[in-house]
Amino acid sequence: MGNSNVQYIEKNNGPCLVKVEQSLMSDFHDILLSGMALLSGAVEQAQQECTDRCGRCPVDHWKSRIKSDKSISEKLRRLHFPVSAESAVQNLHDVVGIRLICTYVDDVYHLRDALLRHPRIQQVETKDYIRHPKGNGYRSLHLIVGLELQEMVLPAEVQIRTLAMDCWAALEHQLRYKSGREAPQLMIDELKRCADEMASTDWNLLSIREMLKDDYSTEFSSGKGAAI
Amino acid sequence: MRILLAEDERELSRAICAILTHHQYQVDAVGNGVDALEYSNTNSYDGIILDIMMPEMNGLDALKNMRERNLTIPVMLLTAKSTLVDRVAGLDTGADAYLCKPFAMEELLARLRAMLRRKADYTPNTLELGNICLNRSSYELAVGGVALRLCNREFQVLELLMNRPDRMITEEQLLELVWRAEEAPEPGVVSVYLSYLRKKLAALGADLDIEVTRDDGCRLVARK
Repeated sequence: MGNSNVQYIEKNNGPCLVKVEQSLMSDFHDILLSGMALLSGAVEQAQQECTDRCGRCPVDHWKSRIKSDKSISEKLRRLHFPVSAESAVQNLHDVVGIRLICTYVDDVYHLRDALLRHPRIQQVETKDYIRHPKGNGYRSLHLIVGLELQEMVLPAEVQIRTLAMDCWAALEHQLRYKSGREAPQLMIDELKRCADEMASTDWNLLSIREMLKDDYSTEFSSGKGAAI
Repeated sequence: MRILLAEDERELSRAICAILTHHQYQVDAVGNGVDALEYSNTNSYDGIILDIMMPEMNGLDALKNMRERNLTIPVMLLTAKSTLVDRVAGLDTGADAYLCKPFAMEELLARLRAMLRRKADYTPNTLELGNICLNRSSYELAVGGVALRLCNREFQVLELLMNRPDRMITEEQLLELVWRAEEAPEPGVVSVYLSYLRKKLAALGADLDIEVTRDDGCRLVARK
């Protein structure tokens, strides 16, 4: 994910159905769809669990996508893996991907914890670009998970971030790639400055929410893993 | 402009105070080095005038102590010790100006103006304490390379706290120093900004935290 070829399909109501083209991944069509169904269900469950606990919905919106054949083969080639469906589900962890956009910074971690409590979701790897932002200022929490399907454990990527982080990521992507040429260093520095300012504001918004009313119960915020 | 004057000769101290006040400076006067140190710790001055020969602690030792604590306020030494060695020692200890007694009031005022004019040049660009680093030109608060950009008021509050670690600063002082331009700040505005800063220090994994006491004082302390 984070690749210009990736198309996200906005989720409105019900599980997201994505047409998998009859070519590279056709043998894995059903597996990819049931993986996505499992992950979508788990996200909805995590969202509900957090909503019950804090009395408001922590998720603003979420998007899911199955990587297109074109992106898959490009990525496999770039990483020098064989170009086949088996190779894709073995070597790439983002064939199935979900992006959760939430309201406050602590929501990110509460949602992660709730999602990982799902019995059929294994935690494989966590990349915390909120604590350790990328050099360009990008912030987001990336989870690589294993989806326990009947046939296999299918890897998937979950990105969780706040509205402010998503806003920055979307605009940065647009500004950087739309121009079609390398951005000058000054603009790269300025984009990073914007990211650091927005991150600062993110923490202020959380402080304001807490000053108005601490809506996660003490038990929840002191619970394991939820610490941020 | 707020000036701290440390001079043990009462008559001279009174005369300097009168002249400075007449020239629109706010002056606090103390009579020894220990008090000078104490006042410089708890208050925020734009400049300090220090006599060298004073009871309890001499001006040079007080100055040395201030500089060791990263206190970057411009300091003028005012003294009867006028040999070359004294002057060099004074400047090398961290004084920004040196004026020998007897002196003309006009020269004291002119030197004070010159010293305060250059104030910005004396302050290093980054302020470091514990594992946190505050950049004075970019307003970046960073821990181990990860930075958040502070707003003007957050920056000013944190800068004040970092300049006097372990020392209490009251809500009233913060209001006076940071919100001075505002006629009637909203009640509680200081604690809102302290909350912002505490949240960010925690988010960055800073080994320092802001301790807020019941009587509305605060200071930077090691994180528990």
